[in-house]
Amino acid sequence: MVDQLKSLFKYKELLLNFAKKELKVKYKNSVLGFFWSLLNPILMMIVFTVLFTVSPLRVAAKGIDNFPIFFLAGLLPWNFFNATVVGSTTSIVGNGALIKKVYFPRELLPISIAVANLVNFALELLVLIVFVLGSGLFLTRFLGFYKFLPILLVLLPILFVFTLGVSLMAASLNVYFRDIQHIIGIILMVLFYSTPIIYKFNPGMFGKFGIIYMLNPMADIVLSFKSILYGNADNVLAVPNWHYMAYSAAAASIMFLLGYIVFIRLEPDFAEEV
Amino acid sequence: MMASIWDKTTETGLDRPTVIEADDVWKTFKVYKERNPSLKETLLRGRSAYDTFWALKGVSFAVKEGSTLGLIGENGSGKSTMLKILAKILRPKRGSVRIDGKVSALLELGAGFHPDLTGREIVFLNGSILGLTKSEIAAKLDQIISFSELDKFIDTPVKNYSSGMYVRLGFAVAINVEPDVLLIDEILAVGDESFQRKCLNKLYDLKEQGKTIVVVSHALESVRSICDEAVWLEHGEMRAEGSARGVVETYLEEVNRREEAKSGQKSRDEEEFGTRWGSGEVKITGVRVLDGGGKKRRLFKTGETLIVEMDYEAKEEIRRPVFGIAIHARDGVHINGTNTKFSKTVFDKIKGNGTVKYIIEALPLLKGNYVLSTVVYDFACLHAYDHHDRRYLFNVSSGDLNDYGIFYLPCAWELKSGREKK
Repeated sequence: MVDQLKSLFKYKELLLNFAKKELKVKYKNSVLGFFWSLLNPILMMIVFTVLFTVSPLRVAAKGIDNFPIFFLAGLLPWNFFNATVVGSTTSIVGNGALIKKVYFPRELLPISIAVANLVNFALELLVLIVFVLGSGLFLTRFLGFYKFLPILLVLLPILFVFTLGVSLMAASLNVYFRDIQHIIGIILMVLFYSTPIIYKFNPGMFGKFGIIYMLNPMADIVLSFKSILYGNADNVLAVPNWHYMAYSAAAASIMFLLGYIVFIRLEPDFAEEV
Repeated sequence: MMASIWDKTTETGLDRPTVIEADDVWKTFKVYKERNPSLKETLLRGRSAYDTFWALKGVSFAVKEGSTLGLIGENGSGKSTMLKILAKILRPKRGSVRIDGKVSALLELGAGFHPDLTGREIVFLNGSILGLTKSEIAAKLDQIISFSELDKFIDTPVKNYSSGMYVRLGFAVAINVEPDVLLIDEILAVGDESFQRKCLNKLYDLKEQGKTIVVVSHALESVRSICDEAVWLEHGEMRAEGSARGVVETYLEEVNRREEAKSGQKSRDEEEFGTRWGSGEVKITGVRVLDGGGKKRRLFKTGETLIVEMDYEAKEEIRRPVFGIAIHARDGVHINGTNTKFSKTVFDKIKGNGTVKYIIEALPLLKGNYVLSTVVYDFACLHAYDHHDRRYLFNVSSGDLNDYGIFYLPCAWELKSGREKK
């Protein structure tokens, strides 16, 4: 596996080209192009603000200050995960014509989707950070954020590696069981509600099952993102719980190993099965 | 005879290193009885039912640096599978394959890339698949574009390309990235006639530069002329290997033999093919169409020697008989008729058994199907002893020639440019 990873390095040009292709195709024929990556979170912010602070729906967000930021702080990392897993699941099957004709390390397909989505996510995150800085007393926000910024640089790789592990596994298994591409949406929906994105997580709310709840690495990852971008229950930016970070880092590594091993085992026969 | 530009094949050097090695390669394919692998069925019945089909059964060969190998065989013989294994697209079931150096594979390129990308973007994507960096591709971009003849359309999304344009682009990239080893499936399926020529010339250049090339082709003539060595596969097994010329000859002989065997019925039918009349004092008892080496043949190449042998049996002494031959195209055109009298060859008298030989030193006919009449008449050419009208078939392939029509007419061209008018 180490050799395989090393040989990937030779193909970094192709990886970048694949990722660029993903982005290009995504914004092809749109007037604003990649500005959509910036515009999307702004529009979401506006919609959420209208929905949850002005409209009668605001009762749903009762007790959560700055609900739009609260929501986006969890939604954006989730969207990265979601889009990458969904995109990767069909990445091998959908590129059958290419796979049958030329050799390149097949994992470049899901990885390039993750990279393209990461670029997108980074742009969205920049917009969110601007909102975060503007959502309270600027100086306190700025100092708080400045302090926690390095943690973000740990958190992003954890999210990336975990997402990649799931994606590699889904992409390779889908070659043999096309059912996966149909069921993946439902699984992701269950996972979405098992992750504290739209609602406020409170350690006591699941009683004895709290531990099981936290076994979902996305729960740990999203809570950590929220600590930095939204803050604790009082909307004060805070250091994430180290348990969450440590657990999600371990879970991400295991998931990646598992996903990559499955992928490598199945990869040599992709050209026959797609 | 007709010299081909390919005749300058590189000598097979013994000291050059082996760069491609296939060692006892076996490959199976699953032939699904019911192609519907879904989770539910797999859970219910275990793996879905399939038969195993052996596409390759122990194929081994080695290619030395700078030489060109042709893989030949009928459809389904496993030659394209072998190429895909060399290209690492498929994994052998057993055995191993080793290639040293940068490999560029060109396998029946068609769709594959996203239709919204422009030709230029495809060049970069394609180039990076072959392992080139951006700057390396940029340096070759002009060369690639001009080779593909797509200058005007290079910034058009490829969804608006014709299939020929698409293939030209793919070929232009694969061939211009300067690989150490080039794998090509069906070279002659690329583009129009002139582009094919261009590709062949480029291949020849690469060959001169000492690149190693493996070609899968049905075009035996080009295999014979481009390749130094060839491997003949049949149902996944190696039937022959060695010099390209030798292997192609053996293959052609076998195909001809098999065709004749398959139409064993037909060879008997041949006796009844056409019509026959005559008084029978002399009978033509056997007719053979032979090549210069005296071997029975059905397929000839333009320029080869063709010999017709006629066995005769004269029950009584016949004075000054005239033996004749006529060649017709299968579609009816009478191409030539001649006889011993026209050729001022007089056989004084014959009796008993004998054989008359008719020799065409260099067959001038081009690609087509032809039929022979063989006759024997009296000296006045009025009385037919035995007349076999349009009974013996043979086929001609034009080989390296591009001429069309019925005849090959050797010719030369000259240019005398006049003064420009003002």
